[in-house]
Amino acid sequence: MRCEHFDVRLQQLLDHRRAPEGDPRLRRHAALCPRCHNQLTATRRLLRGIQLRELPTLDDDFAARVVQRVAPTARPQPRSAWLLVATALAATLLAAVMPQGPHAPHAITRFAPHTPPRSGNSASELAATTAHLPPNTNQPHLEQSWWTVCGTSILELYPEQARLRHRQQVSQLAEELRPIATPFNATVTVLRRTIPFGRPEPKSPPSASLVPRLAQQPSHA
Amino acid sequence: MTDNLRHLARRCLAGDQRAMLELVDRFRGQVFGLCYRMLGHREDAEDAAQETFVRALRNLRSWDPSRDFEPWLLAIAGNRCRTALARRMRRPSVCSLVEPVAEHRPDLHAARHLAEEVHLALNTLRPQYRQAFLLFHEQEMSYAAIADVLQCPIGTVRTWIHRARRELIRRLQKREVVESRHAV
Ligand SMILES: [Zn+2]
Repeated sequence: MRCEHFDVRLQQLLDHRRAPEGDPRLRRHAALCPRCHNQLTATRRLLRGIQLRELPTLDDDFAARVVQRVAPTARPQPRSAWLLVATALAATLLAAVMPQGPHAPHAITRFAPHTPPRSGNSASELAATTAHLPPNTNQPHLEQSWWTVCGTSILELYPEQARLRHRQQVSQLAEELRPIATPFNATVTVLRRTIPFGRPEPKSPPSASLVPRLAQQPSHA
Repeated sequence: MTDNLRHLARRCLAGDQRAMLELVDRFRGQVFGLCYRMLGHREDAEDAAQETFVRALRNLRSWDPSRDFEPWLLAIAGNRCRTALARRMRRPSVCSLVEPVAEHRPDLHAARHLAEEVHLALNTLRPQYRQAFLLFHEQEMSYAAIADVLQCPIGTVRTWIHRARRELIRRLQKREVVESRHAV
């Protein structure tokens, strides 16, 4: 092998990502030729040096800064929008299904399943939390807190769950339900004022401008 | 992989910021690695990498989904680096790369010393040679993919890489790095 062939062969091996030392012809020539031996050593050092080089790390917020530049005005994420719509829909449906005044038992019965749920599910647990309260359909339900209304209604639908009365457990669970029920009750009240088939709140003047306009329209009831 | 990337690109085009974050995070290593090796300076490399992604996301419609995304992205990165290098050539250098004298230190710094010598040697190459060399030896891309990135024939890529190797080897020999008895 001549020196110029050595260089060509060396480049070919590197092009195929093969170690030059693994080639017998190249090794034989390098053993005899100091110049090509030096070139082979330099090649090995170069490849080793590339491996050894460290790369500094980018900051964690690099991607966020890029996106900030591309889309500086943050648009609401689709997931958030859907969540909002779904929540509003669920609240509206709940408000429509909720017991309203003395007609509540009949209204709920239309949606009641033919077979009562198994003991231990969420319905029975909720019934247990409110089981100490006597059902009172004569009193307007809007005066009671929401969890009381629900519990009473469920008991009316599933009277056999009344055996789950445990006063202590009921008290503990009721305490946990109140903070959730209070703001939810307020939300439902507002929704019932604004939805077309809802009843205006009898005890407080309506705050939504929609309600007075509806009140001025002739009633078809 | 490609289908996944196409789907990701579609989400980016629809303005989905989560998809944009995912895309940047997926390729940030490659892009920043190339920029850093090309520019040899952390801040400049970060600026170039950021500019690369900004341009890529703004011009995502110009990417042909029937072709690989990576060469398209790295081509933008290469252009950004060459622009940065040209700008650096025009302005007076405030902190030029000071070349340390080759040391023969029989200690644990031998590896770092070799890496630094290679780094300095790379900085002396023409930008095209350097980029072609890095894409082949560091990013381990094929000649065809590199030709795609550099938008030139494969034969040209091969010539540039061979020249880069020869120049680097000559440089290391000149710097007596090869003669070091404390090989790592
Ligand atoms: Zn020879």
